[in-house]
Amino acid sequence: MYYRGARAAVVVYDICNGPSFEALKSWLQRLKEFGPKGLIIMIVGNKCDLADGRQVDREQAESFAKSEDCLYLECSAREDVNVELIFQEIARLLPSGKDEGPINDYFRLQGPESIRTRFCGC
Amino acid sequence: MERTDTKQAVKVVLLGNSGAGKSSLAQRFVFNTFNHYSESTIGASFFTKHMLIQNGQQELRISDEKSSDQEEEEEAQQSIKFHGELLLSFLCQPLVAVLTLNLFNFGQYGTQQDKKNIIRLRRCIIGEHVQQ
Repeated sequence: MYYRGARAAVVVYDICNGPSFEALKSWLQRLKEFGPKGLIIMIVGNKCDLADGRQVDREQAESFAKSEDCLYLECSAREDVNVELIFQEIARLLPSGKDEGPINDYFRLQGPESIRTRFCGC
Repeated sequence: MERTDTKQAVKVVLLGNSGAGKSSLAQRFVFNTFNHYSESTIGASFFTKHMLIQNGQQELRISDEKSSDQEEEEEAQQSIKFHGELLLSFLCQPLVAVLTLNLFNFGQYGTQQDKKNIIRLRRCIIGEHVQQ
């Protein structure tokens, strides 16, 4: 379903919400069960700006991510901390663009030939 | 001359419990904005954004420039309607946001635009809310 064809998954929890961290296990379970092989998985602890309400230790989360063979980052969408880094890290780990990667349906409608023409300024 | 364009569509899914901040993360990443009073996602959105990439895909950098491509804006508008119609069938699904990145990595024999290694990214973010 959603995971089909995905190259990476960002599994988000709220550092001020313990249950959302506990739920990571079942999210990861699903990914392992239904997700594609070789999926890049990053665990992200959001709302790190709300340090006062923290319920999940960074070290705890980090070692959990390590044990699950996942990347890990804490971020804050509100304060714009590490958000871009999440996707940079994912982009960095993606195989070279020269490989025949999956082509999105959106563009497949046009076909690769028309894409080539569209950007050819020769 | 044979073009060496490479294209890569990258699909990234955002998962996690309700309220963890999937939509906020996506919103911050795509629009660099934050909504303090955002509600649970019950709609779907389609975002178009241009990104600059330097020296291939190793270094990713967001351009501040907004898209001025009218055609793409119209396509985005159409997609909003499209996903809006699809939404009803998603309401029973788990909490998932799907982020689709389409990466176009142009080769070295392209136009001036290509030479700047402009990468076009389209993101389709679908979120849905259900009672847990």
